Amino acid sequence: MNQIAQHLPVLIILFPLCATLLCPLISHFSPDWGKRSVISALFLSVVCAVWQLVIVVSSGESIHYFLGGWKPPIGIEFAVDNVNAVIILLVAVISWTTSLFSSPFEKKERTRSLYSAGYYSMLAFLAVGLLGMSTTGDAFNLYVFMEITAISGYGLIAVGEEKGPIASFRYLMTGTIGASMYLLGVGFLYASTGTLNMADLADKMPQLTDSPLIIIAVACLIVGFGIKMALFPLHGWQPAAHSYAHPGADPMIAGIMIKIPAYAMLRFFYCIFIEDSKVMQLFFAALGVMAVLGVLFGSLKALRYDTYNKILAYSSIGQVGYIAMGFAIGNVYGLIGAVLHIVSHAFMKAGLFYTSGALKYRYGIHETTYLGQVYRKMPVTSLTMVVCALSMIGLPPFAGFFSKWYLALGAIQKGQYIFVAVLILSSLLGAIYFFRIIEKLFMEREKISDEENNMRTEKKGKELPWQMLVPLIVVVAAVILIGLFNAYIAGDVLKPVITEVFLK
Amino acid sequence: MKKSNSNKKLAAGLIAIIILVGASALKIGSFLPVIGAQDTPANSYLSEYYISHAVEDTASHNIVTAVLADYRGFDTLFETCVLFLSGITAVMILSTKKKISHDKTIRTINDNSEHIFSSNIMDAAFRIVVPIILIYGIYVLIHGEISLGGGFQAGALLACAYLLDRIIPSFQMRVKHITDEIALITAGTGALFYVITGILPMLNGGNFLEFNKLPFGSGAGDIAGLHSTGILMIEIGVTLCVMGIIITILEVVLERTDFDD
Amino acid sequence: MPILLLEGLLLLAMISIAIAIIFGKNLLAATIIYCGFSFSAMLLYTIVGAADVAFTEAIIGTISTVYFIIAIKSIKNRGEHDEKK
Repeated sequence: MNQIAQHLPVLIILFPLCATLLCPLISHFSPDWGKRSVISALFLSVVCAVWQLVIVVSSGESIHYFLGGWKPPIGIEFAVDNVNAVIILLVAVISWTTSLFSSPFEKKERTRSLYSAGYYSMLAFLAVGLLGMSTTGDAFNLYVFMEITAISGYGLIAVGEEKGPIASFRYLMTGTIGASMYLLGVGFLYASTGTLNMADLADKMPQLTDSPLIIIAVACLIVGFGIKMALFPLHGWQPAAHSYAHPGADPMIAGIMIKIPAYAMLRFFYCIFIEDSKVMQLFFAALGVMAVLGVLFGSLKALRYDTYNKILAYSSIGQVGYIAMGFAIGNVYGLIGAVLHIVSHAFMKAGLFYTSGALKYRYGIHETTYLGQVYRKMPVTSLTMVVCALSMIGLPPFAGFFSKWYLALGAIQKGQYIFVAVLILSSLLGAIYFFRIIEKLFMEREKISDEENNMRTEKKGKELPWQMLVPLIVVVAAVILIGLFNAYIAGDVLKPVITEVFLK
Repeated sequence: MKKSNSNKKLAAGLIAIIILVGASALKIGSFLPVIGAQDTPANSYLSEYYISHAVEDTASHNIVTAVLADYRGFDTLFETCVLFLSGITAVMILSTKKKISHDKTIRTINDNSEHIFSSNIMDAAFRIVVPIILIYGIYVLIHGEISLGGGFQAGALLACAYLLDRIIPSFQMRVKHITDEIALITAGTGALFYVITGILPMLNGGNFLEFNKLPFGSGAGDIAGLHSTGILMIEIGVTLCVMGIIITILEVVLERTDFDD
Repeated sequence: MPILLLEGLLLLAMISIAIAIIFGKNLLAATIIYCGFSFSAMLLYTIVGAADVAFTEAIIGTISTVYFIIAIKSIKNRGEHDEKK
């Protein structure tokens, strides 16, 4: 057991990687087994992630894993502490549930065994890329994993619905610029320090705070991460990409693909750069302005639309603004709020996109005006939608309330009341559009055409297949549990690491 | 009139952006240290370690290959995976659209028409050039540790030979066409070979990709020989993957093209 | 910031090739010129001292030009004939 336990950081990435490389070969003989191998590999990753979290929290110190046996800074290392372990568990769980969720979609669309293999390969590569981005402790390794995430994202969006390829092309253009800006930033950092390891960069930073290369590097990094995260002025690719992605993979794209670059931004700005210097305070102020504008823009734009996916996509822009607000606030509660919001929003948004996919699978519904009285035939879906929507608005026992609470607490402690005002305003706006959707769910529709009525009764009143029910139940359980146990998570798991490592 | 006006404005705006980016790049570049100077941090901290220890650690005289495949071999694994992923994406996006049906799967030339001159020369050149390319590819692969080369270049060269066969019209069919599925499976096998080279030390008590603990190796059993074997296995994996992907993308794009010349 | 004359010439060539590709009308000609862009990038890498990268760029430049030409063959409106709809 100990033998396996010491290799855990790498095993979490190796299981999906082997599955995805074997998937075309296995699918050549039997497409079902190719799909099952990916799903079981992701389940093994979930088990390993839970084990790793237990080890890290109980022992209280971080795991360092040297790849290739070379000590850093000569080689690459993986560094896992509490915050890392929580995010790795999040990515693993959502990847596994999404791969389960897409299997009925894939069965319906399968024309050639290579397409099924290709879809599952891309999904597993997205998981590998996100898991790697959260685990690594080396700046260039982060770039390589970011590339894997991006390319699998382009692929999964391009096999989507009608406007999929155009949305994917737009994402490709802006995403490549973002990745290049990140690479430029890392290049400037290497030119001024000579090393690529994150802990080593942090050691060399104090002598270099005011050098112009570092200032330019920080600016390039903000633009690079901002494009990947869909932060306010750099969000242009996001609404189309999230609305037209393949419905089976959309929960993963909208839930975690834009959050992990935010986590990487947290690592860079708080662990590597000195956050007390004048230059960094200026950058944090700029980040705060972008965050506030993003929250307001997202909430206001979401009021205009009737297409379910577009509402959710614009609401995501607002939620990423909350996370950036947590970074701009910068004290303990601000950072706890930001990390907790990463976790809870991933589950909430994934849950909402699961319901969107479920409605498309059963009824082909895209607009909210056609939602009337769906709750009778699909009770679990409606329950998920209600729970996740209430959590996004920020009502108490659910997870969304607590992350906003910590953000507000942090803002009040620092005296930046504008953030509190923006939080309350955007929660009210969110209440407007989410209650609109919930109301349409339970009320009768204005006009039901005869053929639609027939289509609904013809489905023999079935709920979804079990592969789609399991993710919905997991998400609802996660939202409720994170809400109930948030004191433990924030106080015992996140707070020690944040005070020691991030806010030296 | 309006269109050419907006075109002119677009052109002026683009040139303004180019000048702006160029000027800022020049200004930023003045802060960067000179390439090759001895006292900059980039050239004195890690680079010195690599330059002085690479040959004795890994028995490879090409320091670029040593850094790429041994010290930072984990990055190279995922770069290879990025190639594999791009092949899968190309297949998924491009091959669902309508395909041009080629009624002759073999493009042969009858003994008439105006193509005789060009195809005679191309045919002869093909017969001489392809074996040379293939041998050169294998040479570049195996000599990756001593001179320029390595897995990526070798895989691209080997695929170039297949590319030549596919785009030259011929007198007789030479090579059976490789379907995109087989090429993709080959690429996946290559990358899997790389991963297995990394897992083998884990079974022997080391970390992932730690060549010190590889169970078998060349040389007199010394550590550098193990590293050398590990690097060779890695390069073979990379070559298979690159060759497979280039052939895959070629097949997928050729399915949709209708040559009208 | 010291810069060699040869490097400067190559960089100017790359910029002018890029402008020619963007504003050109004939797609096939743009592809051939892109091959020249790849070639000058390769020369630049050799001058800076990165020989492996230059070797790789030479091979990949050839292959990617072939891909582009094959892909462009399947487009109907390549801009070859003047204003023919």
